[in-house]
Formats: sequence, C-alpha cells, structure tokens
Amino acid sequence: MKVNVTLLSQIIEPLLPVEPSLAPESRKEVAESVVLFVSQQILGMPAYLRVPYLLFMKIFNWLSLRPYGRLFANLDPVKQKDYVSAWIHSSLGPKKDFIKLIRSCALLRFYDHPKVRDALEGVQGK
Amino acid sequence: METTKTQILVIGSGAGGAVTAATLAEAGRQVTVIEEGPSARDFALDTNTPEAMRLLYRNGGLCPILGQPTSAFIEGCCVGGSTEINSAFWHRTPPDVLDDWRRRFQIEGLSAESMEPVFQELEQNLGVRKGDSENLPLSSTVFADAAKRLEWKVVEVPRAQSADLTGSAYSAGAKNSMSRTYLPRAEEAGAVILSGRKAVRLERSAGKVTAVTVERSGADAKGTERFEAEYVFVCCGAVQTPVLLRPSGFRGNVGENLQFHPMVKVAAQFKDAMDGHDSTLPVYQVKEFAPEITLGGAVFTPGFLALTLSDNWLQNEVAMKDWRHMALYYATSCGKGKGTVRRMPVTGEALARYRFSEADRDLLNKGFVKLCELLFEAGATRIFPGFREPALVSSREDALRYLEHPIPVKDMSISVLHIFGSCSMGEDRERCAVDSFGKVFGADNLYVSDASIIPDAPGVNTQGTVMAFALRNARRFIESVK
Repeated sequence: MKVNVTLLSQIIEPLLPVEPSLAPESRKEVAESVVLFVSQQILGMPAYLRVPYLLFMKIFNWLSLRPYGRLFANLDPVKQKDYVSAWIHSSLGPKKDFIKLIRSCALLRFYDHPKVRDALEGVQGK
Repeated sequence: METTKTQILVIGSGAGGAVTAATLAEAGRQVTVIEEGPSARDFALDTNTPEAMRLLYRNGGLCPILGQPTSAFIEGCCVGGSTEINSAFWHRTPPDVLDDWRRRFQIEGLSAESMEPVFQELEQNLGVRKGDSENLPLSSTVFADAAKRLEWKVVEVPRAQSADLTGSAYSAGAKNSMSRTYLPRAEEAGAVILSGRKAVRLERSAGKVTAVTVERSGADAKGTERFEAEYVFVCCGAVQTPVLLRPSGFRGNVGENLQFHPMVKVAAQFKDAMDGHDSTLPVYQVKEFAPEITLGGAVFTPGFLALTLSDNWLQNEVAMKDWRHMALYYATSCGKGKGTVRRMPVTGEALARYRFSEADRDLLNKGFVKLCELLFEAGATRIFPGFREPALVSSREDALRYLEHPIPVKDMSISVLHIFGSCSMGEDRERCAVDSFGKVFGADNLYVSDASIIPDAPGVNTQGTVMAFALRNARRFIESVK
C-alpha cells in the first residue's frame, strides 16, 4: 500500500505554519520536503500500524462527502483547511490522532529545514 | 542457498555486539558480525537530522510500544547500532543497583567491585570524559544553578566523546561510537563485519543452534544466505532479540519483562535568550530523586521545540516566535510497569506492548512537577508541557497542584528512553531467560549480550551497563570455552 502523496500534501498544507515568511519558491521547496519526510515516516511504520493508517487516510478523504458533497482531495483550499480543522477539534480520539501524527512529523521537518532555520535566524539574529 | 562457516557469529553491531566481537576476536577467535542496517560511516550526517532518521534509525525513528498511552522509542539500525545516534552519555551501573540485581535475580559474581575494572577499561577505550565547562549551554547552567539553590543533587554527566569537546554530539565523528572504537578493533583482530544482513531464524538441533538464516538487504545483493557457527551471540537489542529467538523455539521468559525509562518533556520559556540551537548538548542531570526520577536538559532544535509544543499547537504556535528564549527539558523515571515483545505473523515485525502502572503515573507526575519547580527557580516564565493537558504551567504554585491532582498517564505524551529487560539475566529460572553470563537456558551454544539481559531499571543511561555486561560475558566465554 502506497502513500497518496497528493492527498498527503493537501492535508499538510493547512498544517504548515505561516511564519517565518519565505519566498514562494522556498516555501514550495520546504513544503515538498515536509511531504516527503512525512510520507517516509508513514512508510517506515510497522505494517500493523501503516496499513490501518493508510486506510484511515482514504476514509479521511471520503468522509468529506458528507459535509461538502465532494472528496477532500477535490475541495478548494479554504474548505480543505476547514475540514482539517474539524478533525483537529473532533471529539473522537482516532480523528485527532490521525492528524496529530502528520502534524508532529510535519512540524519537526518544517522547523528543522535549512531554509526555515535561516529565515528564523534572520528574523531574530543568530 | 549460499552458506558461510564461522566459529562465532555475532548478530548485531551495537554496544553489546561490538564489544563482544572485539573481545572475542582479540582473544584469537574467528568472528563474523552481521548487521541489519547500513554502515553509518557511509553517510557524513548529523545523526539527529531527518535524513539520518530515514537512513540510520529503525522505522525512521517511529518504533511504537502499544499501551495506554502508546509510546515510541528510537533505536539505531546501522553498523554501530544506537551508539551512532544517541547522546553518548556515560553512566556506570550504580553499585546498589548491581547488588540488588545479584540478590533478586541470582546473578553469579555480580558486584560493584567485580565490575570496577570492567568499567575502567571501557571508559579508557571510549575516551569517556566530562565536557568543556567554559562552553556549556546557558540552558544547562541556569538549570544546574537552580538545582544548587534548591540544594538538590546535580551532576555533570560524562560522555564517550571524541577529542573535540565543543561541537554537537550529533555531528558525524563527534562521539566515540562503536563504529569508531570497538568495531575497528574487531576488524583489526580479524573479525569480518557484514552490513545489510538481517538474521531471521535460528536453526536448532539437539540443544544447539546449528545455523542462522539471514536475509540480505544491501543495495549490492538481495536474497537469503546461511551462516553455520559453533557459537552464536544475539545482540539485537531488547526488542529485536526476542523477535529472533521466540520463533526459533527459544521461549522461556524470552520477550517477557520488557521495561524502559519513560520520559516526559517540557519546553521552558526564559527572559534571556537561551540559543540552544547554537550550543553543545546539555550535560547536567538532577539526581536528587534518583534512582526513581532523573531531571535533565534535552537537545534543542526549533524542530524538536515544535514537536514538544505540537499537542497543543493551536495555542502554542505563537510561542515559536520566542524560540530563541526557549529550552527543552525532561523528567524520566524508572518504569514500574511490564511489557512483552512478540513477532508478528507474516510480516515478522516486532510487536511491543507495555502496561503502565499506577506507580508509573505517580513517578512521571512527580518528575513533571519537580521539573517545573526547578525551571521556575531557574527563571522560566512559562512552561509548556509536551502533552495535551495541561497546555501551560504559569507558576510554581500552578505546578504544585498537580501533586494533589495527578495528570492521568493516558493524557501524557511519553517517550521511551533505554529499553531493556526482555531476556533477563540471572540464575532464577522462574524469571530469567539467560544465565548469569548471557547463555540462553536450553541451548548449549547460544548467548545474548545486549540491553535485553538487563533485568530491571538501572535509573541511568544503559549504554555503560550493556557494554560492561558484554565485556564481562565475553571474558567468561573465553575462560570457559577453549
């Protein structure tokens, strides 16, 4: 079972911090690096966790049919952000945990990316 | 299938395997070492980077231990094992702990006196030393000063570090890991070290292991091969060793009694800039509540800070603006629960489970409160626990109320330090899987020499204990098997 990288990048995009401010091409590079790292982390999980997790990712995509009538992957970015936010604030533990894993891996890679580190140090001085 | 013959096969090249291989090879034995992962020296990487996690860590750094809550541990999967990716902290096993283990697990001849020359030899060979006191991180000095003001015992932890004492512990070549110390010695004495080879099954006949089936995973070769050996040392660590032994028919207390040091982390905000990203590794530990609880400073990067804040990210994201004024700290305890390791059918992966006890909750909660108390004394203005509730601690008084109203352990984000105990050592056959010198019960030529033989929580980093037991057991083997 493979990671749907397009879907993963759509989930990650609203989770990435707005600051520090990066040039568009740098932000794109950082975002791609984050998606790659998170997908590697998911693929690195033992199969007994990886397979259910990837199934849950499909369920995440399908469950947006109910509120929006479309798959998450086909929503506009604003609705994608609202949908991800709804999962973050869900009262259901599995929904929160699904986003938690992606977000924690994404934040680790984002803030330790050399371009983000340079931008952070540029803002506050080294 | 290709078959290789060797006198002694060592499976695993971490702290236990490397010392075993070097000691046996230098005694004139013919030794082959097989290691599942790649050679770390092929990659000039800082070993705490995402790229290193992908290449050198098992499961990319996400090894789960199922429980309430599920926790995660990291271990190296490369030549040199976890010694390539850890902080290289060095602790001797505390003398009272050794005495306790000798009594409770009936470990023959184990004492502080008998281990003294073993530790001395290892420390000399690893270049164990304290850091440069002129160059300690500010986050460490405020931590240690606060402990002194509170009259709490604080110690500087020595490290197995290479000549340059000023750099990051995670820079390539910064520490005297196995790939820079014992493995080259083993090779010099004639041992053969083969990476990209995972042992999947031990063949046994008439109480002896006759061969080991190995899967090759290196870029140069795939497939299966066999190693026939007169003696086999399994040194795969506390999780992978039972995964190899149990399906091969060695089950007596194997994979039981899994233990670890649970850890909770906090981010502390200070008025002054801490600049942890520019500093050497924090080296002070508060031992006032040892052995049950240890407090210390953790390695800092903006990424690790964000990870610690991530459980409450929506509230805490704003704190990232002050990242230079933040530092990371931990409280770790002696685990009181018990776990198991099993091999998953079909995939052959490890399934580790752990049941936290009430005592775990009490110790972690106390450690968290004491850590907060210390950090407010050190000048912290706010503390962000690395778990969902509470999201923020604003004062010492705020922290102290958790002594009366403990945080449920299921609400904590718990990391696992130092995993051990799944093949305990000792003559007590009701509880132990291997004898006092690592020989597996029920097998004439099979030994275990890694963290799995540590029978109970030592309350300190386990690398020193693993290496000391490996050296002691290898010496015993040389004396007894001519």
